[in-house]
Amino acid sequence: MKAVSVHQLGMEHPLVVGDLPDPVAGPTQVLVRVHAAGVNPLEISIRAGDNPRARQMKLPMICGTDVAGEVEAVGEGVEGFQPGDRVWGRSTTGGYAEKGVLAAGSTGRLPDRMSFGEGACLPIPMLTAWNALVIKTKAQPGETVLVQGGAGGVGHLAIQLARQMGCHVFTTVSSTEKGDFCRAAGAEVVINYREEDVVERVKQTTGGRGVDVVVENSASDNLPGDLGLIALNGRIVIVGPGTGKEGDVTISVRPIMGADGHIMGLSSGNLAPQVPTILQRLGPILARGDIRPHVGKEFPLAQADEAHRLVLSGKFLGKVVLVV
Amino acid sequence: MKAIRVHKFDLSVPMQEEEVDDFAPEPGELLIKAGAMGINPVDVAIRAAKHPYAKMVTPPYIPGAEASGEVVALGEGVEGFSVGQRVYGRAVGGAYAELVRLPANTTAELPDAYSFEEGAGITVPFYTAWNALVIKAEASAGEAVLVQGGAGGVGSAAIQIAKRMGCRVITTVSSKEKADFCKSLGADETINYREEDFAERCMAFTGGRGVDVVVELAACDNFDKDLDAICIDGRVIVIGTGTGKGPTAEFRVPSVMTKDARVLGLAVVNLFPKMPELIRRFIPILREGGLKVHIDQSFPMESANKAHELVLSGKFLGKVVLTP
Repeated sequence: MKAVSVHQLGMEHPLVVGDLPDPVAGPTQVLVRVHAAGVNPLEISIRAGDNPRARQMKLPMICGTDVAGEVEAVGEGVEGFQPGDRVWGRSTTGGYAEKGVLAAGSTGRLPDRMSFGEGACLPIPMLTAWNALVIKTKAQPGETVLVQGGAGGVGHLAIQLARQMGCHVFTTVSSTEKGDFCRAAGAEVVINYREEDVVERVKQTTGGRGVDVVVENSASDNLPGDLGLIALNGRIVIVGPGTGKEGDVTISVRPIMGADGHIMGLSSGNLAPQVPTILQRLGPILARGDIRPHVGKEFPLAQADEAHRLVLSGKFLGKVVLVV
Repeated sequence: MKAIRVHKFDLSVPMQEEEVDDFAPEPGELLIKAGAMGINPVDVAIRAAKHPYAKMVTPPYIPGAEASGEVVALGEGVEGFSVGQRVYGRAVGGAYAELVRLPANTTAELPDAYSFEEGAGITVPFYTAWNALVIKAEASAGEAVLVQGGAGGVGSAAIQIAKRMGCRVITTVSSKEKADFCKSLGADETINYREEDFAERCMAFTGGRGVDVVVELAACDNFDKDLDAICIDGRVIVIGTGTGKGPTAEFRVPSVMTKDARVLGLAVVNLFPKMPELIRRFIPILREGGLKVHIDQSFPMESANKAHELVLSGKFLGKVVLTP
């Protein structure tokens, strides 16, 4: 099969397109013929060598994890899937490839209304948004959620999920175009952080109270400010340090104490055991079309490097995917 | 009445003992003839104007947040207390005085087994430890708890509450004497942080897994390394910056994420509304007689300045109190 692999860590080393043996589905696994692969900041940070996890990776490895496609074969003991089923999920053998092996229990059904490209937007971003809002911060109806970076892969899904949950949604963006995109996704208050002071604007709009939840996609830039805009018992969930950012930041301790504030981290790896349960709750929401992922730009598989550069630039709406 | 007053936000300007007008209880308050008044590091931080609560008082003011004594008058609407009863609780309007006002809903009867000095060391340390372990961390039986600075007021309370909840406790100290003290309170292991790496010791204590909860009293010094000491889903409860320390801490975003860590702040003012329920659950444990309120030194009120110097030096075990 054709696959795109990382041979050396560091952005200066191009990804390598080549032919590899097809993977095989073991017990409780499904083999998927991949039609689209999602591009996430996570695999870019691993590939660049910035992510702590990069050191544990054995190279060469197929880049990425997120795929959508059709079941080609099922392993021993798999029930509920058969060849031809449209599915989405995280491939355990790597995402940027024509085929991938998925754990059957963590594989989602792709609703008919969704394209493979849209399905490839889901695995990490949708599960992360769920983890952030449902599991970590336990956002409640009537609470105000600020999505820092609402136009990105996690951001645009977090806006929609928060609205599903009955929350008020604020979001930050860097352009008018992204602002319109977030409004269409359901954001009620859109703040252009290049033109406005986010802390001031949030304080002003909430009558000085602050927001209950912050979904933080760019903690390295925003965390110190976030501590100044949360309400009493406010929760900040860190979804990412910021695409291509280093992870260290200096924060003031007293504001966390004063607000009885919470700062929560999350990682997709630690979420794995909970994915089967999440899929049961998420499935009907996706099937109804109440949350719609947005494909901002598609690249052919062989242009994965170009796709990475676009993601690092931030100049896209929603999600970048590879068409396989 | 005689009272101690702060005339300037400056530790080099001594507090003064003065004759001031007697307090009278407001509606919902008890007036007590003080038996003892607790000193907390926050009193010193406010006096140094290094704490946000400094904005809530204007010199000359009476410092102090907790006291014990005998009820001498009941404010309007107070039920369930009687004149002559021995009580302890949080003070409003200052505690370093012969007469002290205690809001009835955050005051409790002092069991006979406890002296007034001991009674003056319960509210802030034990309720804060309860807030950290029960309300914030939701610590549970069999979990491993690291108490950073176990020999102080909150620290010594946290060791005892954690043990009472069925947790295993490891604590950091700066001397052999403090280690012995913490052991006597139930700590399973102690770490002399001047000689040993506390994160490594925590890993050894938990068979390489990491501790579940950190009760952090000196966040500015320890926060960064706490992330190395915790397990996946570990919780760091930020109670203090460290006496005289602040205001910032280093924050490694990737470590918070890869461990699904939760950083939870708390402030005693935010606990006030929850105190009645906390007291309802805490009092039976206090009555069992198993909690030890260790009084390092009891100073006469006129030596309040000396008492503050001792608290600032950190060279004490448990609690420092004043008597009228």
